[in-house]
Amino acid sequence: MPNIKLQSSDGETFEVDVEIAKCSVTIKTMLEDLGMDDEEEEVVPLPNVNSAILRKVIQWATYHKDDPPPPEDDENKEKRTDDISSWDADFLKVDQGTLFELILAANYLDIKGLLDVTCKTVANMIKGKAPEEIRKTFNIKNDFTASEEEQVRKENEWCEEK
Amino acid sequence: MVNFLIESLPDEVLEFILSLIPPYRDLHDCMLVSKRWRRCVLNVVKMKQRNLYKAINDFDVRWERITPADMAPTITKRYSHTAVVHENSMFVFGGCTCAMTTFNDLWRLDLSKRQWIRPLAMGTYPSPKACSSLIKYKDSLVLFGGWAYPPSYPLYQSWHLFNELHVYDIIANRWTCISTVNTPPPVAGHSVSLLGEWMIIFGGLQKPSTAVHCEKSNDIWKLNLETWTWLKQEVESGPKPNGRFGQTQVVLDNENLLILGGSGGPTFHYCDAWVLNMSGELWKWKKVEIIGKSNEPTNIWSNPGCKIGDKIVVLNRIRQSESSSIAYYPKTTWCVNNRNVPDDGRLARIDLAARQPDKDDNVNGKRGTLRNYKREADDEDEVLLPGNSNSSNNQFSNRENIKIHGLPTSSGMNMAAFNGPDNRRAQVAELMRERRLASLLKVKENLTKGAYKREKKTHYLGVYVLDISQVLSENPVAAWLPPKNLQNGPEETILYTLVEGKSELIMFGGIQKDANSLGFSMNLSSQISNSLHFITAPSYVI
Repeated sequence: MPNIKLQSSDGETFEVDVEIAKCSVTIKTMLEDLGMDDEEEEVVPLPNVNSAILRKVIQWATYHKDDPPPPEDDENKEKRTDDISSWDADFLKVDQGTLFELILAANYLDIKGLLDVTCKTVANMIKGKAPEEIRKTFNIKNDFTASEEEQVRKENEWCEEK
Repeated sequence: MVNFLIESLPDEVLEFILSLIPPYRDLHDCMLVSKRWRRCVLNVVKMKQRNLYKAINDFDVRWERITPADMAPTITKRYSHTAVVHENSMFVFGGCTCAMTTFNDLWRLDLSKRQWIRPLAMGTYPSPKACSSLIKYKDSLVLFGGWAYPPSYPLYQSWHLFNELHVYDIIANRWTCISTVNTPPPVAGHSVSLLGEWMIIFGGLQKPSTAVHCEKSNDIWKLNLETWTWLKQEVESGPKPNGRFGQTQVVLDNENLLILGGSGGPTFHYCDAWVLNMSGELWKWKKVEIIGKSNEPTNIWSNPGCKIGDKIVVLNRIRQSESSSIAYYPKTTWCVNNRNVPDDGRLARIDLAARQPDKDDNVNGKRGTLRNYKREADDEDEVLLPGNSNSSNNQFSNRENIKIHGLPTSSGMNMAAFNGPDNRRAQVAELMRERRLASLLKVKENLTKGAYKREKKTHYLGVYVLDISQVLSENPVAAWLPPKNLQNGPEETILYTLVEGKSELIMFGGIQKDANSLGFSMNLSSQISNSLHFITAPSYVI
């Protein structure tokens, strides 16, 4: 299997199996568009991903390299937040900063599976919490005034559009 | 060290995360976090609403089934109950089983956790009843009408209809019985809508005090929910819908209602639609022209409709030609459920009673002639004989019915004992038997040809969509949309409830029964459900 080199934002290069790297739609497109397939010594620069995160992403992609591709018509697979595999759950036992950086990397590299599982993890951290607890958990500043907050509390976000 | 904050995620990623949050209280709480979160939640809500609407239009919905085994405690199996969504919950009241039982329990389904809760309410409970109407008004639920099975003794009493009115205060968890004057006659299977402070009911099976039998009504009554006064609403003369029950009724705007379908009796079901204009002293009916008849569902009286935007969604049997071969869950799951049915002593007793008629006839040589048949290995179907005169009744009650596992092809039967050479009577009897056998063989042939297979075929529910965007025009028109991408839902079920939650439709309960054979001879071993099915849009991708 041919390898390619990925370069993180802080200059570290990782040698990865092409097939694994291609789980990133971004890298796959780049390779196809630029015809990088032939020149093996080419280095793919990833200026938005640092080495620590890239290492995690490669670790994830390597573990999941044999996963069947997500079916087009996944009729029976409901998008639930409680179906995270135990390997993924362990893999994502990281600090919040790393988790959000992974989300950004997955978004930038366009790795759907990784984006799904990381976002589900965050959704699980949000579920069942009161607004104040959510703010505390994620260190978010409350920019509502008391009266605004009262108003939003009464707001029905579901009133029909039509 | 938290160097990277959730606030550094771009909006589209935050919205994707929020789209994974159950769209009930959890999502509402997210709106209170900050201005940015509120904006993102509003986007998610808009997107979810659009997606559901689009999914309905494209017939591209996702079915999700929650079996009762997944949830404890759980609600009893039932049909003809009533359901309403209020904020975070779906409330279910009453309903019935086939075994002469009607319920007066109230259940709440927590929609974010999808868990059943039974609030043990205080106050004056309503009578056990089915086919009543339930609407929400402010923080209360208003329950009216319905029917109950008669008490089992004395025999031959007719069904009991109600005109009692109860209010359930959700916050205080209390039922109150409201006494009203000028109350409509007892009614069941009517349709109901809330408009401002008025509850408007139409039709239903009524029992006026002077009448002996139930009548199908096309009356309109309105109840002021502040003063608890009833008024019978008069309408302009002219064409109006026939009396009916089990119809779908939706609010179009502040002045217009639409009714769709309903039943006019055991053999007559409506597929028509009418708009009721409620401005002015006298209200006015206007018949809606229905186009796209070829896409029309076969039964819209025991399958409730639900309005989504300018469409009405009705679940109905998928036509055979359009049915996809993949069931969204295997049939066997229902069979497992079915085993639980006769666990109640009362049910089992009635079960037996219903089979009594079967014993009276010497149907198909039941008294000892056609025994000891070998089972043919290649005959997978257990063939029910249609010879029983109550043939509509024998679909499932097979314990007492004769099962013939494949007939022998020759008359190689164990009848030597009767077959003495000098016994003319025995010969005649033999002749008779052979004739009977011949007719049985013919039955078998028909069965293999599929003549009786109709009852055996499993049908699945699918989505049907009626476009009602033009029903308020000068010449009201509604159109059944041509189905595409039809996906199988659950096995055909009727008399369930279908209500709109937040970006999902919720189907609950019901009975698995061919609507065409539904009469007063309700089959006792029909399968009643307490499953929940959620119909949502396919998940979206950022």
